[in-house]
Amino acid sequence: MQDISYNKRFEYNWDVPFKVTLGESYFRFLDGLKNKKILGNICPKCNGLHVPARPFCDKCLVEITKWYETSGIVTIESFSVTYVKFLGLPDPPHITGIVRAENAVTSFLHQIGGIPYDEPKELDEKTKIGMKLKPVWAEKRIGDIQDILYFTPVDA
Amino acid sequence: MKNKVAIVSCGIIKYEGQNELGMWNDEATFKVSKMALDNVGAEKDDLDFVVISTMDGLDGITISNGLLAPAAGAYNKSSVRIETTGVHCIFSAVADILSGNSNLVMVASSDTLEMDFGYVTNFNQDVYFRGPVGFNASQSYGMLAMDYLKKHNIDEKDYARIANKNYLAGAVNPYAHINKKYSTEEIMASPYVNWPLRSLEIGKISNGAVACLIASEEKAKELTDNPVWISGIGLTSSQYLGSWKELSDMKAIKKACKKASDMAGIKDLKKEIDLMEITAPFAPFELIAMESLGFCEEGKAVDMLNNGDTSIGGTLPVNLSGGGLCTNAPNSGGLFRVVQAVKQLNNELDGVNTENMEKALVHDSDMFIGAVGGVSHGVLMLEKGE
Repeated sequence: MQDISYNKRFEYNWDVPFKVTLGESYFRFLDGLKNKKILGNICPKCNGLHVPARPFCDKCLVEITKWYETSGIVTIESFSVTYVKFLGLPDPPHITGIVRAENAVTSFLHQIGGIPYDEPKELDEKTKIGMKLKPVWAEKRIGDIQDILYFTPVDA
Repeated sequence: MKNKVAIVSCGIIKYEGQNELGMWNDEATFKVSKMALDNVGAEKDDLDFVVISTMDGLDGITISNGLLAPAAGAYNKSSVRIETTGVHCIFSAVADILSGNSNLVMVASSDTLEMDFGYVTNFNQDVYFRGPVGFNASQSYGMLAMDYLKKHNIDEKDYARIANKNYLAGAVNPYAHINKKYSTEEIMASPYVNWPLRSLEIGKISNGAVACLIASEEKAKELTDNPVWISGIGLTSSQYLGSWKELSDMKAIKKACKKASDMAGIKDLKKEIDLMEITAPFAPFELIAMESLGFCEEGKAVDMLNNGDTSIGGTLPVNLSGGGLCTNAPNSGGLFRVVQAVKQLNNELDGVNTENMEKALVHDSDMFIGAVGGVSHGVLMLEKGE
């Protein structure tokens, strides 16, 4: 390591306000959450169900316009149990899951909660790929992804 | 390739921890770029084009090529900034040379900023679906590591063995950030970050800088007797919101490798490639990448590891540089691995004997921001010879 004692260290951060309009597909998906609905849409070419709803299909590169209301039940496709505190993330231990609604060709991220444990390490084994989950809804919903607080096992 | 393109010179400084270099990005970029020019007696005026690899969130300023391109010799010349990593930059350099537009291109990259990388990689997610629910690069690594472990029923200790193999290589690499020979036991004793990944199985952020000069065949022969030829290159992107099957089976690596192999005329990777540098910011990705690249069947890369095939002195050394565990530079890591492969082919690295090794594969990726969804992979084929 070089001698950097002669140097000054500048500290700064970015705090920049942005605004964006998401467009109809993302808006309708997020707005659906206000009414406890998880909406998807279906590609007219490959019939692939997209959840969250998307403006277009990646594979066919065509516009998606046909809407579909899912049951709200999702399946764990993958997950990660986090044991350390990361700035901006929930306190550990927490489980981030990749979940899939019904037979969707896409998946999405959310927190998984409500799995009981005595020792945090038990979460590695108690969280199962293929486990069915249901949403736990926020009391006050504003039309964003956090209207779902987390997904929890259907039998919880 | 129809016309030949070569890497003719490299400039590199030893990688360090965050904010340990004692200089800003422009100075670091200048140092390595000047080194690359001086090594072959070239001047700034010989350059036709400059390619810079950086990402705004990792530079602490936006559109940082305004600061960095002149430091790499771009004043009054063509230049571009590419957000993904080294192989993607080399793709641009090769394209400009093959178009006949350039004869000599500088590709440079640097990392000098201290940051909370977990926070930055959460900040870099979209703010509607991924960022707010709590996601960063480390969790994406954990997902892939968990998936591979469960799918192939291997031992967590195998992940520690990969890490140990990389630390042993990094310990003798004069350019690597981490030079400590962590034992398998020390690695197993380090705490879980994202199960099944332990702290010593995830790369710590490195600072440093690296540059290389890419030349047309004519210019290469004018500048050096020791060119490393670029024989093939392929890039492929994955889906952002794909199914887990799409996100985890690394189709993008397979396709990038196929493109690069076809371009290089490689018929049998296993027989023809002598060494590899793989982007693996967490230890087990080395296994996933080797299988995706086609060096063994699914679930069998661990056998190559445990047989010693991929270690120093093995039949197919992987990450002789020490890999992402020893040097994990977000902006410049890809170019670092390219330069390490060039030095290995030229048998220039102290501590490892790579004499008579003629063909190398470099895998590169922007997965350090998040390894599942929206990842672009690149594969570069390099070879010695006339």
